[in-house]
Amino acid sequence: MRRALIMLLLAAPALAHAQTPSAGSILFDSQTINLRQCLRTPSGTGVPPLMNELDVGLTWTVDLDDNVNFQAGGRFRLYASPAETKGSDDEGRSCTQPRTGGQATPTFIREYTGTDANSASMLFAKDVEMNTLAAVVQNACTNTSEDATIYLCVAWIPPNGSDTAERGWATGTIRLDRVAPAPPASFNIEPGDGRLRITGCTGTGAAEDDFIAAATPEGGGTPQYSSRGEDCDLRITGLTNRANYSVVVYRIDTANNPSAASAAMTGTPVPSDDLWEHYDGAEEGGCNTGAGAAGILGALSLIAAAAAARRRKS
Amino acid sequence: MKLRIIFAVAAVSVLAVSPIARAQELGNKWGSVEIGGGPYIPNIDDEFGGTARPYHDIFGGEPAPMFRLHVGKTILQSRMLGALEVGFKTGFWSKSGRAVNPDNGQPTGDRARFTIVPTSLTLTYRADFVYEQLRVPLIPYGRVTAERYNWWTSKEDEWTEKGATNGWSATAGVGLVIDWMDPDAARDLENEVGIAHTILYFDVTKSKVDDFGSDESWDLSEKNKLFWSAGLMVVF
Repeated sequence: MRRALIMLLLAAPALAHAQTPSAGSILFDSQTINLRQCLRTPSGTGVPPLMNELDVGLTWTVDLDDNVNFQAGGRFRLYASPAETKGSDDEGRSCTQPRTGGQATPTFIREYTGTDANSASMLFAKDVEMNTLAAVVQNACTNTSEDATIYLCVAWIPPNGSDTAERGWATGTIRLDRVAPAPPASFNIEPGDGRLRITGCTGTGAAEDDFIAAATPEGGGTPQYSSRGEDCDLRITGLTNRANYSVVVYRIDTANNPSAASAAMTGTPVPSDDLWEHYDGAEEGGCNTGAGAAGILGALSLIAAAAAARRRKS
Repeated sequence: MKLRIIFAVAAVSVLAVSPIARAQELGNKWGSVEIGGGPYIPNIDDEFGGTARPYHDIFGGEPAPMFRLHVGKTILQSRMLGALEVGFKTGFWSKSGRAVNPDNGQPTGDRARFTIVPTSLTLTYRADFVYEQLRVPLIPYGRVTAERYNWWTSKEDEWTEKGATNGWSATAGVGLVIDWMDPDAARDLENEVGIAHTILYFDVTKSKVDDFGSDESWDLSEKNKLFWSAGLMVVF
């Protein structure tokens, strides 16, 4: 009995939410679509290689028509548009029409039925291809001079209703971020043992931007990339000491768009000594790591000698 | 004859019971705990006589704080002579710098770190009577210590070497008893938590941590001849 009460208390907020269709909104697991997602470039490819989800997950809560109760078994129809739809209007709501005359007609993306349509709220849609959403914007992946907004609208169709018999709506926007950040204007290279440390990137960008550096052997070869860093303090490892490398740095914006490569600088990894190695180099032999036992014996000898001296005095 | 035996037994009994009675009167201190620290630079470069400075090349000349924690157990105590404790002390010290290019001695972009975790066995004499009998809120103390400095070096967060170096140290210090600032609070602490004295201490230590002069060891004694530290000591 007590367990049942606890379960009821835990479930209460969710039940309350489920019974109260509210603003009619769509949430995304990503708020932006970057240029590589727009082009559907596979993750880990490109220069520099970056990880990009190519699909977006959607969660929505539809706002029902005043005179309608939600019924299981209906359909959800997802539309995308480069302009606002009438899905958020006070009256005459519709996902299939633009809010302002003369704008492009919203594009039907896909429909969800069956178990997807058994709840009016907090329904998680299957992943939607980002390039499909981006395609509703003119020159979606070729106009790289400005960002764009994609308007999404989900319409709920009751069971047996026609495609236009919309009785519930949810709207939201997602940003198509296709403007690459500017590359770092300059940076510093500090050589290390088989590695190069990159610091001090200058240039225009946001504080939230990340950085990645790459080193390519002079004369050609495969570039080695650093890990992605929130600050411009990067290390490129796996390099050959005393070989020259051409080093460039990329700035990565919050939408995961990389800049073009910075101007290249030359870096040369060198061997390095830490304290132990430097000490050992200064004096052959160095410290005895097994000295513990000898040291303890020494301490015991001191104590024994002191005791003997005391006995001699008395 | 029988009377002599009775007197003898009585005398021995009085002598035997007397220290116990005194200990009970003093409240039988359990021991002490202290936490503190001070600036430390290892004397690694000294053995080179100025011809090389491997430590200075990487870490420079600035000290880094060494934090220490000491727990002592009272083994002898006397109202008129003070307390003798055996104890264990540990701590932490770490310093970071730049690894150097062996070709030219110049700093590189590689991080280097040197870390020491000292572990020590201590014998401490503390003149508690200065405060308890003479009512002067200063308690001098002295300590001899068998030191073992456990250390490791690293480059770019990867170990390059580890080991331990043994030695000894001698310490002289003085503690400012702060019980007198608020006697009521001090009494409450003693009654409720068992804290007999709360002391702010300052001491200086002469150390020799070089595996007793072994040629195969480096010298982790304090570079500046005397290591000073300060902190808080609580006597239970």
